[in-house]
This record gives sequence, structure tokens and C-alpha cells, in this order.
Amino acid sequence: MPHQAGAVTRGAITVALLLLSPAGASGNFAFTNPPPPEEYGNLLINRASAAAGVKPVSFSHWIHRQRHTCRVCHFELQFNFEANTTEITEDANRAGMFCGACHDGKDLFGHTKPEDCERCHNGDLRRGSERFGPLWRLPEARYGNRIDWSTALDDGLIAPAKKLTIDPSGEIGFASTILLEAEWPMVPNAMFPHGQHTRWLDCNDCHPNIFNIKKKFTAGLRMEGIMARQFCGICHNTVAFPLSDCRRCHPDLKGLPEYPEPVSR
Amino acid sequence: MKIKLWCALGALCAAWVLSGFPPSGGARAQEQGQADWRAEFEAVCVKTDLAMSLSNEELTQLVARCDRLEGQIAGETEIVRKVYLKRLRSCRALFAYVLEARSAASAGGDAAAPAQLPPPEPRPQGTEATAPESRPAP
Repeated sequence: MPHQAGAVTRGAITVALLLLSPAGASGNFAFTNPPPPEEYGNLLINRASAAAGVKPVSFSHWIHRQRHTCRVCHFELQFNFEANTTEITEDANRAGMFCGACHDGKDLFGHTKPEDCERCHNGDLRRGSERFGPLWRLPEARYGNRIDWSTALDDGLIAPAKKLTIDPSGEIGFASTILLEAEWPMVPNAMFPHGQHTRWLDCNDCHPNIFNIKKKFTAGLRMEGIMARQFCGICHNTVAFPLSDCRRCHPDLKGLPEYPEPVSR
Repeated sequence: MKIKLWCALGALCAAWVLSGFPPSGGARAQEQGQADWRAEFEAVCVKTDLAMSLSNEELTQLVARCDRLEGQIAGETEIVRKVYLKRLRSCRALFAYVLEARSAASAGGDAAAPAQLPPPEPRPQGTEATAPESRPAP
């Protein structure tokens, strides 16, 4: 029937146009409404708190990131990347492990005064947001905390310590940028800069557990997996800049997708 | 008066001994042993950021040192064992991973290995890497 054929043809053309449009293709990912900048990267740690009758711990990455690089907590102190999987206990903290490595009641508040418990065990993701204001001086980004932390580090506007007790051997010299070919022909390739990551992390943070050449991970490195918090998605979309900031990885992407930008409360 | 002074001194000495100081020979040896493996642990795991520049022989030796350390850490308290064993195994895995990647590369290469580009030019100070977007006023 001519009328039906016309509808089918129009539908096929629409789908083809969507697929051929980079903006349309890259805007297919369902990013939920982003949290306010001062809450991005904040998380509640509740592996055992509620069961023990205390409120979950509120932890802010942007507060701690100004003092220490990721390497300190996620390499030296062995905090897992996934929340609520690290076996943090009060005893471990009092023994100087995990949070207790810094929060020992001497240089920083710790488990020494009862009135200090609520400073962490408050169950409030917005805790500390009043301290976010001065960070507007840092270089801008479009999403996440709306702060370009890497540029802030490179420009010397923040100076987080790279070690707590174990000095790094030196600046990690491996700074190559890897080209990651996109599956969709109309989507520009992604770039992975080792140098920007090694300024924050240790090689051991990613290799070999997350990125293992032996298993030919690149065959499975797709946006679906990344969106499901695999590979890059372990950090990006949770604490590092979110995946809605497409051009941070796909710099040649033409036309910005219209993902909602975060707004302060 | 003298008797009181001697009693006080004796009480102090008793308190000192009962508090465990000076430590007994066994406790002192244990502390020394712990200090030894911690120093070795830090000496080994600090090299993860150099892994790519180490020779195969050095990497093999580091793997062996990790294996020896695992035996020493296994005797520690639960908290110490959990944290340090996890880190040690991560360090060992990295050294073994680099060794394996090199042997795979020399045997013909990984067809799925991604292309590598030269390091980027250093960005001049003060320039922004991303297009600035106006942010709502705090």
C-alpha cells in the first residue's frame, strides 16, 4: 500500500538520519539529572554503620582531593574504588588504617572525642557544601563539580600531596596517549592520556585489575560497559568528570549533546 | 623520709615493669620483625610507578620478593594482614602484568592492543583546556 510504504520509508530515513548525526548518536545515553556541583563525588559509606546503630558516613571527594591525590587513598591506604566494599571499621581506624591514617585526633579530628563522631557519621550528602564556594576560583568545567581538576592541578592552583608515607619513586614517566577507536563510524575516536591520570593515580590503581591487555579488554571497552561502571566508568560518572562531558574523551566531537548541566541548590 | 623515698621508687619501678617497658626480648624481636617486613614492603611496592622502565630481571626479582613478603605478612593480625596482603598482591600483579605484556609483545603482539600516540605538548600555563561555560553564581 503506498501510504504504508511511505510511512516505513519515512521511519527508515529518520532512523538513518539519527544514526548519521553525531550529536544524535552521542545523545542517546540516558544521563539522569545531575547532582548539584557541591554534591558530585560525595558518597555515603554504609557498609556496617546502620547495622551498628550509627548514621552512614558522608564522604566528600572534592574536599579530600585538594589535600591528597587519588594515589594516597586508593593505593597507599587501600580504599577500594567501589563504595561499601572496603572493610573499614572503628578498630582499623584507631589502628591508623584507612581514614585513621590522617584522622587520628592529632592533626585532624579522629575517634578521640564523642562530639566528633557526627562530623562523619551524619548521613548527609550535603555536609560541607558551605565550603564549596571558594572553589569557584578554579578552572571551569561543564559538568560534575563544574571544576576542571586536572587543569587546576597543572596550573598549580591546587597542590594535593602525592604521598602519605610512601614516597613515589618519581614522576611516572609513562605519559603516552592511547587512541581508542569508536565502534560507530560517525563518532570520533576517544583519546586516553596516561599523563593526566598518572598525576593523580599509581599504575597499580588501574593495572592489571581494571585494564588488562592480556585479556584484550579493548574488545569489550564500550560505552555500555563504561556506563555500567566498568573500566573508565569506575571513576568517571562517579567522582571524576562525568560521561556527559563527551568532548573530554572525544575531543573531535562536533556539536555538543544537550545533557542537563548541574546547578547549585 | 628515706623509707618513703625508697618505697616511692620501688612503686615506680614496679609500675614500669608491669606496663611492659622495657619490652621483653620476645616482644622486641616481634617489633623488629614487623619493622623489617614493613620496610621491605615499602621498598617493593614503591616501584609500581617505575614498572614500565624496569628490566625483566628486576621485575622477576620484585615478584619473588612479593612472594617472600606474603609469607611474612600472613602471620600478622587480621586487620594488618587484610590491608597489606591486598596491597602486596596488587603490587605483585602489576609486576607480573608488565612481564606478561612484554612477552606477549615480543611473541608477536596483541592484535587488539590500542595504538599509542606521542605524548601531548605541554600546555602553556594559564590556558584553559576546555571551553569555559558560564556557571551559575554560587
